[in-house]
Amino acid sequence: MGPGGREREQLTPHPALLRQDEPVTATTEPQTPRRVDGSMSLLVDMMTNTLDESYADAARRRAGDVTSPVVGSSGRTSARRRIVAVLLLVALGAVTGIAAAQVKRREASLGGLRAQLVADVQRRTGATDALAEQTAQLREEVARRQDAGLSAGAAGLAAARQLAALELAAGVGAVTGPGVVVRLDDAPAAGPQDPGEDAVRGGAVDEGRVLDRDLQDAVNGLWAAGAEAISVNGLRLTTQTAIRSAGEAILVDYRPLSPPYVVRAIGNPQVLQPSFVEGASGRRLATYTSLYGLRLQVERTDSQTLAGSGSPSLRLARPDGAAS
Amino acid sequence: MIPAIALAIGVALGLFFEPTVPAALQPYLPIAVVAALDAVFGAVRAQLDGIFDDRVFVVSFVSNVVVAGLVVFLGDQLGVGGQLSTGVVVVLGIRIFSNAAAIRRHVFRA
Repeated sequence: MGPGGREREQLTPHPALLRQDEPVTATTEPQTPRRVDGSMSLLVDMMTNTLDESYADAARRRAGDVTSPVVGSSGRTSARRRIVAVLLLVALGAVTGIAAAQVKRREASLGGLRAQLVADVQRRTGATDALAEQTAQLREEVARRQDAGLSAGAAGLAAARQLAALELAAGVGAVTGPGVVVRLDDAPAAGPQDPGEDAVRGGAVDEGRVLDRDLQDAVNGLWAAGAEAISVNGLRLTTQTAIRSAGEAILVDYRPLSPPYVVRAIGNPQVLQPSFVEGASGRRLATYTSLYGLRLQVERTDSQTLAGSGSPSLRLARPDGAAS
Repeated sequence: MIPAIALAIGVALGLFFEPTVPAALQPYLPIAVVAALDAVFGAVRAQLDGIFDDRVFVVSFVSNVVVAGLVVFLGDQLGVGGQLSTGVVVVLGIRIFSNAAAIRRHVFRA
């Protein structure tokens, strides 16, 4: 390499520069023909040429400039450049600080978000409970006023009787009668254990858990066996009640339930119990108990009371012929 | 001395004011810091070697930051932004370490 040799001649009066420049010439000049680590040249280059070569170039130029007369102007511009350099360093520090603050803030907001969501859920659940209580009170008052209004004449009494019969059929009013109690619970191992294990074992836990399908199956089996009224964990089933799941919780009438699930059905116990247990869904659930360890218990009862559900919210449906 | 003070002032400013950075720029901040640090370490080594030059420092500082940012931006557009920023950090990290080693040799003669 011709230029390398020329540079070295120039550099000889500058010992520091020579020291800096030495490894560069050593790697590029004599070794090129017999490099064994040719494929590693990129890495080697990266490890050895860490200093920007322009520093050496600039120093070389300056070394040449020492003899030239334009020193005053370069001194002034270099002062300006020094200010720029200091400003750049301030900017670097600022950006470093901003980035660190950003990371800290992001972590804080992630932690806070969860707590915020939990608080939100709790607040809204409380509000829902309060509203449900208010609904129950209002419903009671409506019933009281209805009774008072209808007990005036014979026509009113007839209407009251008809209303009671309809409420019974619709599942709005509370009912009492004999029947069966079906208790359905998760497998013992998959019960309320520490939630960390759920995450570790993944889907394996779900096998021992009562699913919305199982609950639907039990309810359908009871209807098929001749049940007249059914409630699940105190929630009366009507024609509008849905049993479904959201995440890992079972929702009945859009309210989340937790195991054990107690399904109460009113009907003739002598008929209801055997037809349910020997029916398709009863046998299916029995299979699940032996396969997955679900807990199923069917008991007869002489008397039980099922609470009424809220009035069905029919907004669009009208009796036939009464359409406005 | 002045550079160290300047850096400290900058960090204090950044931590104290905590300006909100546009979300689009956030992934580039750490890369910009690493690239700029590389330029700073190079400058310190050049200073110790006696060949420091303001102009070279300013130019290398700015171009380092811009190029590192561009590489990561390009990677983001191609869907390999994370890998490319890792690459940038590794390469610049190696340079920073070797420059730090050179500085150490200068300062402690070891």
